[in-house]
Amino acid sequence: MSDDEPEEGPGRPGSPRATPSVERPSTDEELASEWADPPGLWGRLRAVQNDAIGQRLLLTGFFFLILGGSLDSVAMRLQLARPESDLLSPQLFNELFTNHGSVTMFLVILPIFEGFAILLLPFLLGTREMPFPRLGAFAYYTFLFGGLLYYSSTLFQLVPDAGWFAYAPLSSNEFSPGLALDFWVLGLGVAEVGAIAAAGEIIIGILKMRAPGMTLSRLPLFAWAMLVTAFMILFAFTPLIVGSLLLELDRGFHTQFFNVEQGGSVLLWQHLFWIFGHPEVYIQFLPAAGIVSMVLPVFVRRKIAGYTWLVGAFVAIGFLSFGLWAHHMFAVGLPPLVLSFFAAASLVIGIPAGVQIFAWLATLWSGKPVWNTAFLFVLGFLVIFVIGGITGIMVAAVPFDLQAHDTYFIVAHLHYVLIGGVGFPIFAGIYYWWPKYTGRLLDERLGKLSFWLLFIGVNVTFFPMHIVGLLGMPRRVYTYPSGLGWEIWNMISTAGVFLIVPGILLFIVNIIYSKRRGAPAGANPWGGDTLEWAVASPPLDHGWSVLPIVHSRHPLWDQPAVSEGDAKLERFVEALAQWPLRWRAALIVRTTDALPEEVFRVAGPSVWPFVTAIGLVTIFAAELLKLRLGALAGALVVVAGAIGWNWPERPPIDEEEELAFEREHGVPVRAGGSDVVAQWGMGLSILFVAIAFASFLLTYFYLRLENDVWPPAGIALPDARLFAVSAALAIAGVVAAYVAVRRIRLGDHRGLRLSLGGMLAFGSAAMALQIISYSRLGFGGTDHAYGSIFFTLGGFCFGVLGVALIMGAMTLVWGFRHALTPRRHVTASNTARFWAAAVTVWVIGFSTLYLGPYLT
Amino acid sequence: MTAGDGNVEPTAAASPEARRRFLTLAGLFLAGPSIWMAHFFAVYLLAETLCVVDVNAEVLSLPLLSAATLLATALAVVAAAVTTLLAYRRWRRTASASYVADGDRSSETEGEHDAEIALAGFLLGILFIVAILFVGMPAAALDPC
Repeated sequence: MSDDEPEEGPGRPGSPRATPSVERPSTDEELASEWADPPGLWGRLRAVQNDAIGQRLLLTGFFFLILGGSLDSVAMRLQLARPESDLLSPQLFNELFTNHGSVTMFLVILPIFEGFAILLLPFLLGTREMPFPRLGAFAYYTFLFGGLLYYSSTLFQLVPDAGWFAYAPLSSNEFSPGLALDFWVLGLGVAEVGAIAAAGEIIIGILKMRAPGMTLSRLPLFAWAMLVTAFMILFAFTPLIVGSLLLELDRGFHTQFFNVEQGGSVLLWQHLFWIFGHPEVYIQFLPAAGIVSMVLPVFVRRKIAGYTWLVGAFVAIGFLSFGLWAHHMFAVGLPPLVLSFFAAASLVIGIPAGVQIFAWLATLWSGKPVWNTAFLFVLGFLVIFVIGGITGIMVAAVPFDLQAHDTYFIVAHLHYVLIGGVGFPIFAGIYYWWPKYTGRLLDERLGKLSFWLLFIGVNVTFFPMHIVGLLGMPRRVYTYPSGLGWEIWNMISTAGVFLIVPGILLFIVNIIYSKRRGAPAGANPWGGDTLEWAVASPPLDHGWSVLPIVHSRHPLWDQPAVSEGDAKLERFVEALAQWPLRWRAALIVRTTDALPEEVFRVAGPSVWPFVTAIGLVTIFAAELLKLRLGALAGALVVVAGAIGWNWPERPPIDEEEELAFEREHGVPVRAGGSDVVAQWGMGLSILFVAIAFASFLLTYFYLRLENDVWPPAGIALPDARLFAVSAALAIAGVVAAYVAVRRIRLGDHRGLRLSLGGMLAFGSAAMALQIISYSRLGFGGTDHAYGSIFFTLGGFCFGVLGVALIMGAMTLVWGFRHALTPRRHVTASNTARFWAAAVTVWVIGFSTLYLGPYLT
Repeated sequence: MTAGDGNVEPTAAASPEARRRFLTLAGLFLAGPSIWMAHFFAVYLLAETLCVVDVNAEVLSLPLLSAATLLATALAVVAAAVTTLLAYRRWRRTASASYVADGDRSSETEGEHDAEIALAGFLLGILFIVAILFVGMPAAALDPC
């Protein structure tokens, strides 16, 4: 495809006029009301619509940014302005830097970008909703509740103070008694669940819910960036959840994972934390790179240079970021060869990052810039991020890192990367997309003033930190003596903050001003090239009445009309604007060629995601207060919530009506819920379980390596005979599950119920035998790291099979209610898939525990 | 397709050809990065294990670790080179096919699309060959543990 400026076609890049807009059929209103969230407070709790969820995520992220990102940093800079200052106590300073890091890394950037994604993607991709609106709502509530649970520590004067990484043994009971660290582990744990939930929603949304014709090579770059990011969230947050669980087990249940005297390892925590922590940096950067790749071309009036190279760079960064984590551990005494592996990967990641920079520069070079605020933020991003990237390459070299480690040089580096590389693109994105969702422009004069204050302020604040770091000033000290040559640099840094604060205040003023009196924005104020600019500003609840048909990477610049194309496709998208008007129909496309694959009913408003999130936060809060019965109650609420959430609703039309549409348009209809989305959802759930399981297995083998004698003296080798029987029973359960699927495909309801019953019986028997086996072990989970991992990995296997049993029981109930038919039986096939995964975990997990000690 | 669909003609949705195309493209696209990741975790876990075992029990000699790392690196480079070449071929073939089929919108789309994905796979392949070499080569010079 040519990357040149288009000579012909209706829309000139960057020209606010003459880009095509959507057709407005008479059914607009009817569709919008079908897709709108219910009114009132109760309605708000049940809201699932992507605009609502996306905006809530964004606002919540900004709320935490002001709280944890800004107030804390001003206080810390005031303290550090002068040597030997006693404005803040050492304890308060510890709490402030812990809070600042934890909040910005967990509660700010992630919800903001997931909010951007959930808000924007349906419009960018030309579809009506995200695939699991209820999961989006659940993700939001878990973010909110997790953040509030974490922040409630301030009300009790129990603020976490062990750094945003909570290193063991500092974070252990011995050195951090009291509940402060539990607030950290448990509050952020809830938010981590939310991050993963939203990631699943985003992956399936991008891969399966697009306009016809929007092939992978026409995907907007923001969607590519979010796709890679969402996979990274899945792979990075899961080990962190496992690590947090182990830390909380050590703190609350006296297991020995991080207690060296009892066979534990403190480095195990660092590995589990940083295998999340480093990808996390790129999880924050990639969406920003996606935003830049969307905003820049529009304001230089030229198509992006090197689209394919950028896609490759996103994917390369996604992979490489998982080979960098130990560069945070260069100083802990890893073997030299291991250091070189991580240094190599840390240096290589500079290549795709450089490819991105050159693609953006090439776009800029050949374009004609429009100097408005969003464009300025992109330029500011390029300058600041490149500086941060270069210092990143410096610290990737082990010898340099050993000098710079734990100094202000690192603080300078990470703020250049995170503020320049992430903060500025967020502002660019807000200035760019704000008119789409409010119908009003932000003020340019206020915007530019705010940009210059922020740009100068960030450099004045953080550049001197490079110097003071090289002069030897360590991080995380509450004060420093005079006479070391650090005073002037610290004073300059603090002065810089007083440019950043008014910069942010002006931004907030601009938001409020625009909301009230902003100039009206048309559908496409910037002359943008992507689909979201074809719909009205603000858009209707369902986004698209007539779905677009895409022929180009830049549909609004290259296509004469939004919904024009192949006659059959045109008839299809017009049919979807007229039918069905009684239920929320959305389109699934094939992954590669984006041809229609299925029309399905998207889940509607529901209070169950809210209830489930309440249950989840109850479990964590009860653990915080050591009310174990409360945790049980929370777990019951989660199970009840999940069942209510997934309770099959009566399909709004019967199978005959579905087939009628399919005969006419050649696209299957699933008014009961999508088969494709359900299968992908199950696939991602299994991937999540697999990653968590792999983290537990790595923990097992890491602990095994750290101990010469395994099992420790005084503990007998485990007896594997009962396990052998339980494994055989579990495998029989899987066979029964697949027989059940076969029976219902043939329309044999009785056979379905019998095989499902058999599956449940086999699974329960396997569990019972395993419980007996555990009761005979003769050691507990608190005895030694060996006992701790034996019970924790075993507990994970029990948990996964437990979920499979609940899922199987629900499927059986629906089998009795005749809710499954030969055509609608995805519940049964998903149950079988999950059983296969659960039993694989069961067999490998317990084999490791029972047979591992014999083999190694 | 299920029994209930018996009276409906097969649709675009049910094409095994589309599935095969998706899997081939996904394979070419992700082969380089995946091989790098497998190599990275293999040599890292091996080094982590052997260094601990060696210090603790002095069972295995250190040259074994360097040799194994270099061997794994050579194998990974060969594997990544093969997939990179396959992606290159697919890119050239589909890019020229989309040129020949100019004017026919549907086949143009398919060729152009596959060419983009294969090109990305080719570029990623080259990058990750470099990455594998970067990660593995220090074993030739450094004292491993």
